[in-house]
Amino acid sequence: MAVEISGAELVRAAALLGAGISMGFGAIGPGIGEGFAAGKACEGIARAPEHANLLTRTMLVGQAVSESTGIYALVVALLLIFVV
Amino acid sequence: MEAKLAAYLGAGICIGLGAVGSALGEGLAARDAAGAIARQPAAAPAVVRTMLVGQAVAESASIFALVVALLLVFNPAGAGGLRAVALFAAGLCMGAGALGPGVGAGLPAAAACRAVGRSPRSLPRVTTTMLVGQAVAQTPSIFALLVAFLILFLKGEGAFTLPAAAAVLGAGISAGFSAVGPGLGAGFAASAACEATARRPERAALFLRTMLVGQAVSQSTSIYGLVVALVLLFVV
Repeated sequence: MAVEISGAELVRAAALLGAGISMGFGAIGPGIGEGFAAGKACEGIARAPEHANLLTRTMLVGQAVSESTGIYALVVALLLIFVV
Repeated sequence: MEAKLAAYLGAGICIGLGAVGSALGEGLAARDAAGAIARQPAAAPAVVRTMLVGQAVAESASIFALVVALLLVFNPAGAGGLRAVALFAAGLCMGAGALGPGVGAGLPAAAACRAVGRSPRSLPRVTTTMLVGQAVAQTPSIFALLVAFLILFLKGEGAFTLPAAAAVLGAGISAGFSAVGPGLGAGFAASAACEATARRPERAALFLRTMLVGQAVSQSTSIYGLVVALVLLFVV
């Protein structure tokens, strides 16, 4: 299998593979972290149901911050696919 | 030749990785069921039923991996370098994709076993929470299965070019590994919701709602992974 590979092809290939790696591994942390937040919110609401709204709000704020790295991974992946 | 080689390699990685998560999750469920029965032998029938139902759902992720591995072993259709990369990518995608959801579906099963052992009267509500939570925890593995099938049945025609091969491999990595975190995270949320439901069964709806909101946010990154995989497969 003799394949001619140009430099531009190599760069394009690296960018596409890099996009997959970026989004694939970048999604691990936020998924786990947001799950911790949701679990603790359920625990908290079980202990103090009258504060359910406050706890849900805190959970969502915490998850939004935790989500940010997942969005960075998405942005980097889309940049690698469409811009580079 | 190289397609067959890659298919067998992919099949091994697929079921090798894919069996880890479910086995761990089901082991956790069995451990907590045994603990619950030791403390409350009278609750044994309810605990065993909860354990078996929970384990059956947790098993589904590894069954997806088994299906993809068997397809790779028995039907590695096509030939050529690009097809070889596609077959390997399909195996890697489903193998990694079953890791998180397997454990994630096992965690609520374990929590439900503990909960039912402590208060057997909460069985129906805890089972509902467990099954809904497990279903959400399994969705990333279904995304991985979808991408693995798309790669398996649609990709690999045409001449080998490095960018095309990298795009297919990148799609498999993106959809496969992005399932790890959300699967686990949704499992943490569901596990806590099962315990909360057992403690206050009258508030079951509130816990279910909180769990689903939290899981929905936690799932978002696996949807990003799916989107990037679909872009790599069909847009690039």
